[in-house]
Amino acid sequence: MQYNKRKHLKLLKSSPKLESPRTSLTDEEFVKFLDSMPIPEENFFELEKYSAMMISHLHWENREHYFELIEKLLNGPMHFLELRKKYQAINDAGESLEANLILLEPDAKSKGFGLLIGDLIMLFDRYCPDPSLRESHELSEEELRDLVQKIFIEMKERYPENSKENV
Amino acid sequence: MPKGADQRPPYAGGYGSSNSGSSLGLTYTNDGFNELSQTTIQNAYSQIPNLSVEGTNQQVTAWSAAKHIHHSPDFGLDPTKYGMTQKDLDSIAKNGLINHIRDGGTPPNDDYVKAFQQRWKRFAEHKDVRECGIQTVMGEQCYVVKHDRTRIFLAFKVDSRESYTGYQLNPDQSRNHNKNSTIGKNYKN
Repeated sequence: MQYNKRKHLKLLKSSPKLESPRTSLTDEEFVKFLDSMPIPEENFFELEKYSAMMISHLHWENREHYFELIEKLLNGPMHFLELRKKYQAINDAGESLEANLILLEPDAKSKGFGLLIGDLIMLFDRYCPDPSLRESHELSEEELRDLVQKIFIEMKERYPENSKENV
Repeated sequence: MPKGADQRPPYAGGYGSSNSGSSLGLTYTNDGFNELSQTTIQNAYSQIPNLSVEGTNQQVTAWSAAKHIHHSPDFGLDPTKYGMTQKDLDSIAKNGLINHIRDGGTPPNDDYVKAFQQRWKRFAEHKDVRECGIQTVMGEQCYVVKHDRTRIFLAFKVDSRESYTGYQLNPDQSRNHNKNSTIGKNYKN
């Protein structure tokens, strides 16, 4: 699918205005929060595609820093909070840009990077360093390192750093 | 917020400072909580009754809610209202609940866990939440429900019918879920 900035902007402007209370919610307020967002129609899914492309681009633009953080993780202790925070900050930045109707033209090479980094971040939820506590779906440090390494190799192959792209 | 802007649930960004002890009967030893076994900690949370999701045979367990409490801001819960901070949630995300508690971190109290259980139940019962059927969530076979507009999902394990995990997907993950009916690659198998 080709990115269409004009269409993205049009969809953002024409989508129903949604209430978003940014305070702590009671159960009733949470239900109202969900109620305030109508069931999506076809336009929403098209908008989601454009949003995904743009946010994936933002993650991809930061790939060199991501790579540094992943390398640090692979060569040292499993301290992944910095990586997780960076990922969240980029998602937030993307949402904030959209909220302010500021759109960036995604590079075609960024396709799928957001999904890959998202999958990597999700792995951390399954990490359980203590074998006596580990459940069947959870990962040991060794297993986690192997998987991070595997995703990292895939990332570096599919999404080379700037300097390597220009070689 | 402009029309159509992507919605993030309230409090998804982070919280300030606050602290309070546990109300679960977890007591400190001289070495803090670090002598507590997983069983002791799990049993403390398991005293909180499961909640049934109306119209299904699925249960929201306190243990799964406690373990995934770091995702509670995605469901509009503010940890500082329950004596915890964003730093506590980061620690749970990083170390897991048991190690967080053993390292002397604040355990989520029963009010917080009950509130999160209730939030998951309300979410699963909401009229606009889509039943996605049995899908693979990070390698686990789960019943999945999803609110498309917010990209929040909740998964129940197929074998036990107990709650597993839930949070807000990024737009790429949400798209991938809509397309391939999976959440997270199963890299393990």
